[in-house]
Amino acid sequence: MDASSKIIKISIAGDFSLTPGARYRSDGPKSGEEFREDFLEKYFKDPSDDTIIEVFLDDVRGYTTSFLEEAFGGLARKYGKEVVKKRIKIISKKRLLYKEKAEQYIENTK
Amino acid sequence: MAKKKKKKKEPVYKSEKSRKRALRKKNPFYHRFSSISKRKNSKIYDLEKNPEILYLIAPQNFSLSKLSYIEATLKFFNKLDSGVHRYNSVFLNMENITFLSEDAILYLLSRLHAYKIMYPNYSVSGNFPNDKTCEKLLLDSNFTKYIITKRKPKINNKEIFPIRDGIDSDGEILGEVLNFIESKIDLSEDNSFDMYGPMLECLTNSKNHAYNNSMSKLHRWWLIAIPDKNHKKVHYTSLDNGLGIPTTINKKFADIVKSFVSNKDPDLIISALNGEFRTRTGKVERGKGLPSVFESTNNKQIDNLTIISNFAYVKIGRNKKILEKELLVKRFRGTLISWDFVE
Repeated sequence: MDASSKIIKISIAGDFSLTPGARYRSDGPKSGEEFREDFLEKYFKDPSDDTIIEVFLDDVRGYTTSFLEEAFGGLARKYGKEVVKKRIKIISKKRLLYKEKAEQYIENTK
Repeated sequence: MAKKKKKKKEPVYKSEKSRKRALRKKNPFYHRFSSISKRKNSKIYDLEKNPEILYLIAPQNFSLSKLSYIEATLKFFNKLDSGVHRYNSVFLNMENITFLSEDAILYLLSRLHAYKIMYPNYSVSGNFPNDKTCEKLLLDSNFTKYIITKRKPKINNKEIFPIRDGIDSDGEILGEVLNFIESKIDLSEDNSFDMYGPMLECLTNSKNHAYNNSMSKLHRWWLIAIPDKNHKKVHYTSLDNGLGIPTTINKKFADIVKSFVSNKDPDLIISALNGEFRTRTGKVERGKGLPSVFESTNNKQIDNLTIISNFAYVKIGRNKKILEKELLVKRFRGTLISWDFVE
């Protein structure tokens, strides 16, 4: 992480929803696609943007695997695994399993 | 001196026709979608004008909760399906029901919803069970929201989480369901968190995989949660009226399995739970919904996972143990998934 990089903190519970939804917008409200497009992608559109995005997973009702896959795996599919790994920091104190899953979805992207 | 109670005399009817007319007037409900604007004038008496009404008697055990009740209940629903198709008007005599469970109520609502789309001029009416417990469940379940009747549930009844229905994968509703369950039993925060995903996956599956384009208007799910105070558990049920799991899993894989086994549908469901099939969407990252439901049986506070879909009945205990696996004689149209949250 570059010392001069800007850090943005996003709490899914506080900034997005206490009840995250499914994969796509067409599935219903507060989907992984919605979170990725409205909260994450804006920091990836400019290739020179080196903002670090800290995403806090805690304090929601729960997650579907499809939400996490689409939000984080979907981001890696679109902007590249290495870029996403470098700039997205997934943080959780209570839900370590889900943090690992989200990181795995980024890692498993081909 | 206490007054002697007068015995009610059994009414004597002039004819079978007048007996049926009286039956229809007693505790009736009426479900007709052909013309909502005519509701006030139509009432149940409209039915009398129609000489071709099919009368169906619901089984005493109107339930999909036990294998021994399922065949009779599905036979009744099969008759209802063909009755609505052939007669347009059907009367459901439910007064003899002595055991009623919420799964049968949800299935009745899903069939009524399907008729609304498939047969615009159909009408279904009926009466309420004489058994007070069954009648109370029918009223408290929110069933009356979906039909035309003067009978209403008690206001502010918080004993059960009443029927909710929808189209989208709605996490907010599931948040409410989990709040309700937490108010009834000691469900740990971690277990509640872990169950949110599988519950939402069930609703998502009903949207994504249960329907093809020609049936897209049918798309709907229903859910309900009912606590059993004696056993310290809450029974959660969700149901959709789609094509069913065995129909919607990837056909190429299904065909392979079909050639090896005759008892097809239950095995297809178990394979889908194990994540052996891709779903109709065909994407590698998809099809994780059912496996996540299966995984949830490793949760100590989850028991008796039951899946009924097409001709399959599968019951799973803790730690993915298959308790029952049966091929049904009559088809269940859609998918029902239920389980117990236990203390």
